[in-house]
Amino acid sequence: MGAVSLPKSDGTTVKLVPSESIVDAVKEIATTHPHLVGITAVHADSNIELLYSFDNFRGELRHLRVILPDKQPSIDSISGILLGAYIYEMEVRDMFGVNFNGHPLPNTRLLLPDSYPAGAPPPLLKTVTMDQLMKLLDSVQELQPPSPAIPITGSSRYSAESVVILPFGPYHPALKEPEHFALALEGEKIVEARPRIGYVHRGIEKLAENRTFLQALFLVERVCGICSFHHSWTYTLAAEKLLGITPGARAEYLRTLVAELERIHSHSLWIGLLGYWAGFDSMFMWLWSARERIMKLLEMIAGNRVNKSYITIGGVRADVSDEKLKIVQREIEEFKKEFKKISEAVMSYEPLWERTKNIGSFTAELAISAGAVGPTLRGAGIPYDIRKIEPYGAYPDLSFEVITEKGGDVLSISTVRVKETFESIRIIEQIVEKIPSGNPVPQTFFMGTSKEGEAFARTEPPRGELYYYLRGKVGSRNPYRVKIRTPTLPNLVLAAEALKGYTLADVPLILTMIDPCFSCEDRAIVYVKGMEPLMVKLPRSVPANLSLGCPI
Amino acid sequence: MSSAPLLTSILTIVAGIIFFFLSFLFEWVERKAVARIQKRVGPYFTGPGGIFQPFVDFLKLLSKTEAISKGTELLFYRASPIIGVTLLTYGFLHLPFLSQSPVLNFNGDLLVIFIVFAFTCLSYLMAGLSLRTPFTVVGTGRLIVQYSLYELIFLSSFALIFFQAGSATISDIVRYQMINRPLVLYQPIGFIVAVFSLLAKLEKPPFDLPHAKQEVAAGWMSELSGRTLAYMRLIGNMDYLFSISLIVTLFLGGGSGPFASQIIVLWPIYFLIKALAIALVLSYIEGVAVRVRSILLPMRLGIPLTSLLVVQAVILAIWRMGLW
Repeated sequence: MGAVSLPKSDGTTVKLVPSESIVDAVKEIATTHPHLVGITAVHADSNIELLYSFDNFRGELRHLRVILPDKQPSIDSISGILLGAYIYEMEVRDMFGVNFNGHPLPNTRLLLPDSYPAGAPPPLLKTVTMDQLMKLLDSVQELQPPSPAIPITGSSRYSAESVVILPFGPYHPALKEPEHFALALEGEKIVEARPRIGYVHRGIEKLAENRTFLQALFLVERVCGICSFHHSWTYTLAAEKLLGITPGARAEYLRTLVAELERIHSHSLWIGLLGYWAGFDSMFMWLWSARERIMKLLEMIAGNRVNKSYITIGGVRADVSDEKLKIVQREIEEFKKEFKKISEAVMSYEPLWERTKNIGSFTAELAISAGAVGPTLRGAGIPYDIRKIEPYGAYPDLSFEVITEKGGDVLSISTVRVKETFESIRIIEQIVEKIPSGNPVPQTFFMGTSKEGEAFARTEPPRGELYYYLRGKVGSRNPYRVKIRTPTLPNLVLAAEALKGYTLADVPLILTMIDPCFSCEDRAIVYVKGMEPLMVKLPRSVPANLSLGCPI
Repeated sequence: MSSAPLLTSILTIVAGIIFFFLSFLFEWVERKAVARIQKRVGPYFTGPGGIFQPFVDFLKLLSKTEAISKGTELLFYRASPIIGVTLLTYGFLHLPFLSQSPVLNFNGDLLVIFIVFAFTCLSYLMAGLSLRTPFTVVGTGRLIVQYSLYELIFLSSFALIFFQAGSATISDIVRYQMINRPLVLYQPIGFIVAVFSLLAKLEKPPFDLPHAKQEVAAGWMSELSGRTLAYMRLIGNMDYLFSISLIVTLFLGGGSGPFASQIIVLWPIYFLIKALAIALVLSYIEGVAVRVRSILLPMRLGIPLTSLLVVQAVILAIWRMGLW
């Protein structure tokens, strides 16, 4: 159920809309379906197809499809209706060169490096080959000065004397990963915040088009270092739907087991970091030492701690013996005791409350408009969990609660994460008891060709709804288009809004309450002049007769 | 104490060297203690239990290339470590560490402490403002606010000591405690307030705002490197030891204890034990503290500690009047 093949554009769930009337169509659809899942762009047959996907928080998706010519594509911006759309539109503008009329940040790049020539063709167009892209980036002679994220002069709302623009990042001790926030400060108070990401572009979406379905699986796993399994799982769900493959029941359980272990490790990582950001280093150390138990379990099951490469199209890559499941059961009990002790101690600790309660407050309306997902949205009281509304894996057989908290601040989001960790422990206990027998490993790994069609899949990683879109061309070994919408992208819009009015001391907590994973968002091409010897040669299209040497 | 100038010179050098090396020992104690609270091992490689690690860190930083940005005010930048190290060592000589009488003393030398406090802070300010980047400016701004708060508290708690001991001379205050009892028994609230405001003075959690790394990178230290950073870190360590020794002197009766008046060697040993006990208390608070929000600093530091001191003053006044 998690993955759905899109039916033809017949006007029921996928509606073909002329580009002039997109604003009206979105206005209409947003009254019933206010959650914008993403804007997917595909370059096919000299057209750029834009797919706007909407959800009503019950999994009843509706899509709007707009077809634009690939020469000078232009369409009205919908960011006036749904706030979160502006960051999706920036991504499409960077990658496909679509001009959005009325966009609030008309000349700012989000993902492409500033060195990318202004008149050059956008990288994700099908007419741009890997060779051309390399040559184009080679020809860059000097770096362009970046356009300021918040213009200080001219039509600015601030006088230059009273406002300091503080650069927060790309290298800052509060951030695990490089990204940049331009913070307009009046004294210690923030009046405006603008994100700029894309410092770790890796061009994964473009690369995936040049690899076979199976190779792309290992590529997308590297989108994120924390929810790596969820990325490969979501991709697999979409691919299985597109290719018509069904995994066995034991495989579904094992996938769910690894995914929930991943959620536990991600949540305890974040709660520990909450202490670090609040200036409470001991909490960080305690939780990370408890988390080590889960990492060892993951290593035992999948052979690796981070990039687990455990899943494959049609199943998983190795079975887990009953002895190992017993160890999982034992260790998870130990972890539960330890986590309970620590979380009860820290979450009732008054100085920590002072740092988190009513900090970064946001309303449910703002969260919906920004398109926020996951614990961030649930912290504002909206029970939006893909595991419940669109069950996949073994979730239909397992009982668990969708945790919500009232309030919408750093504290409520933290509480959601703590409670969700206990729910995940409950799920794992059920999995160990209920897991069916059978062979979860497919006979052969998928090496075949694609069918014509498109499919998408959604899962619920620790950070919230992850969305993959896959398109296949008949007879091709490679996916025609892979679109990834990571949870941090819409959550970032919310965080930038929530920052306004708070002080510099709260920035680390507010920015990171969404559990940002900036590297996940960055999937474009990065190229630094002078780094040529370090550039890895990008692979060309894989020849059809290529045999993969190892049995994966 | 009137001694020959030669003896004073020798004692000055000995006390200075002891101060220099002890400050590293106290950093080691603090790092080990905090590490234990955080389920870590702390420094353990250099020397037994890693005891030489802070000193080796210092030496290593000295040998590092110093990166001085364009536009740095070199006078401020170079003068700040000199001021800090000199004034703190000078201040330490006024504390009765080696024996009952400090190496240097004069009537009313409690006031030297204020000069040392002010100039330590000044050396931080000079280092911070020698290059004005966003992080150093915000960090130094926070430092000034914090200084103005803890300075007042310290001043008031010393006033209470003066009020009770009847003297602003450090050796007289120590003698008063030896004749009667350590002042902590008379002024427990004042003692707690002084220990807490030490955390603000030393920029330790929960009052580590001036260099809160998650907020303002290294704050006023952001632009320091190489030997200047080594010396600024040394100043931090010396400040730590100096402030703890001050508390031991003023509230715990210095190195006085059983048989201390008969066996002279016992005085510095008792002093050290008391100082280590306070260092452990500070480390414990550091380990379980959450950094206060910058706008709440006056609410968390200034107001509660000042009102506690008022309570202490009232109690003291009532007690003294009843006695007279």
